[in-house]
Amino acid sequence: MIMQASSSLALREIVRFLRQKNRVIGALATPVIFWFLLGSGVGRSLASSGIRERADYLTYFFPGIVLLIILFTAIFSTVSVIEDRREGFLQGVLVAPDGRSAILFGKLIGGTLLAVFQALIVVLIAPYTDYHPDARVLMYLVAMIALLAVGLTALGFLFAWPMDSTQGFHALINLFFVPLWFLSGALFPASGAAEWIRTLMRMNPLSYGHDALAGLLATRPGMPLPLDLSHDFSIVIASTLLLVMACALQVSRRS
Amino acid sequence: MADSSLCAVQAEGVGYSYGRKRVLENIDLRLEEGGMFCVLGPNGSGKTTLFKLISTIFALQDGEISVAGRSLRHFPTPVRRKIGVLFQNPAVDMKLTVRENLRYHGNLYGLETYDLEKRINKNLEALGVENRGGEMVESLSGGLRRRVEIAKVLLTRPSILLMDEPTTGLDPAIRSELWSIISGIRNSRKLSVLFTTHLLEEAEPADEILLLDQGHSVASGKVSELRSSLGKEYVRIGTYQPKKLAARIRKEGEIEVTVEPAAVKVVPLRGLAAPLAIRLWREYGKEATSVTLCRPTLEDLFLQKTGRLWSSTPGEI
Repeated sequence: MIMQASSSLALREIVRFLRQKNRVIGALATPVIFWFLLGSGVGRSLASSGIRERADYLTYFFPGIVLLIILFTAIFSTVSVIEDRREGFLQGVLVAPDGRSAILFGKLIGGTLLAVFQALIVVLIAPYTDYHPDARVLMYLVAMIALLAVGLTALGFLFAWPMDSTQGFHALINLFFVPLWFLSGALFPASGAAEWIRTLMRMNPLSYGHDALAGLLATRPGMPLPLDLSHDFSIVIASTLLLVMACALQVSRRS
Repeated sequence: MADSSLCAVQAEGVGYSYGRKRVLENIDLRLEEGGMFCVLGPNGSGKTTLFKLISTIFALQDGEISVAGRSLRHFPTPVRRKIGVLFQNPAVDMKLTVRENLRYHGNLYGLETYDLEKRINKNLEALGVENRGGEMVESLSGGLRRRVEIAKVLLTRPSILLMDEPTTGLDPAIRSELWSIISGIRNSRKLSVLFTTHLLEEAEPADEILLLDQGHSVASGKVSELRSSLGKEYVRIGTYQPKKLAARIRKEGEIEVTVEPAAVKVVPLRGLAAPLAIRLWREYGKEATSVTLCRPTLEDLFLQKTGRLWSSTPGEI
């Protein structure tokens, strides 16, 4: 029964998403525009100072953009928790026999499916950069994207559940989630950064997600998989499990 | 806890606090199977908190509540299968169609597709919204949304219907229509109904009421008994100068006079109120805007028990 309830609520998330055209366009176009403008702008600036080629930076920045899409889609899908609460829909779910578990898993499945779908659309652009993932790499990529999506949706859910204002949640996104992405290695590699930044990056589970995405995308057909892939996967799996458990604990508590 | 075998909802000694603020204190109530129970109180009296406790949204702090013979403290999940809950704010998704809303609700309760579709058709028809199934809920009027919500809630065939201020935001005509729908459903499905309201007239059809004020039970029992406990009929004289008129009327003797905002209430200590009303109209008609023969109401009960008017806020007379 929980599966039926959760999948039904997940489907609701997808239907609502697709019915809001602006959301679809915004979620897809924003990261791509970020990638192109920031990648080209920063790349050219670096090139003029003789550090890097413009095309190099666009390529470097690409896995970060995939990560940003997962982050945006997963986190924004959890805004609906606040909307559901405000509009009254959530209370109807909470009085159902397994409503609390259903709403959690419904949001996790819905948010994850949306994030994976959008991230994969962007991965299709990969061949236009310097990346040429084959079927084997794609399989690992989908797995990592899905894991990151579950974890980030759970993180968004954890923050959104007790909140009653979407404005407050947007402030939190700027304050917490965007820096989390900055410190994942998406914008700059850890190697050249200050020691305290490197420490923060090492503590950030998203860094391992980014590392896995970058490593997988850079794996050319026939090449062996990146050496630290299993380490990256372990950390992302552990963080995701912790976040899902924290969400389960949170929804099980009644006022 | 007392015997709850024929009892749909029973609460004993229920208390609740938001942090340090105590909002409910020692509340008892008993809804018989097939009965209709009203929790009546002005805004801020604790109705919605009590409702959220009974509907399993809030966890119990003090006291006990049993629903359909099951303790809410120990068995909230089986209780949820027995109740249908209609909230003050519609719990429907505005961005989905009527039929989609019902379908998601049925799936939430694990109903099988074939059975679910049959129930959806039946309920939409019963609520007179069978032609609206494909419309977005946001495009419907407030009254129709309420009907959709009732159709949704009844999909799981609950034996107890809980409603929190079900007519909030509806105009009087739609309100009355909604009550006649609820009454019809209650009879045909043999539902036990518990509802909250701040509208005195909505409490009248209930078998029993619980009158709340600032988190405390002020009175409870059958409406007719509560009303008759207040005593006789009386006369209310509308006037722009209630104090001045009250002083003059008091000289009549054998009456009890109370000053109200823009009115004077006159209760005969002997005899009937009707002849008194005629006499007062003759003598003070020029100073009166109206002379009304009244039966004691729930508003009078509230005034008697709290010393405040129904419309006033706590601390105000």
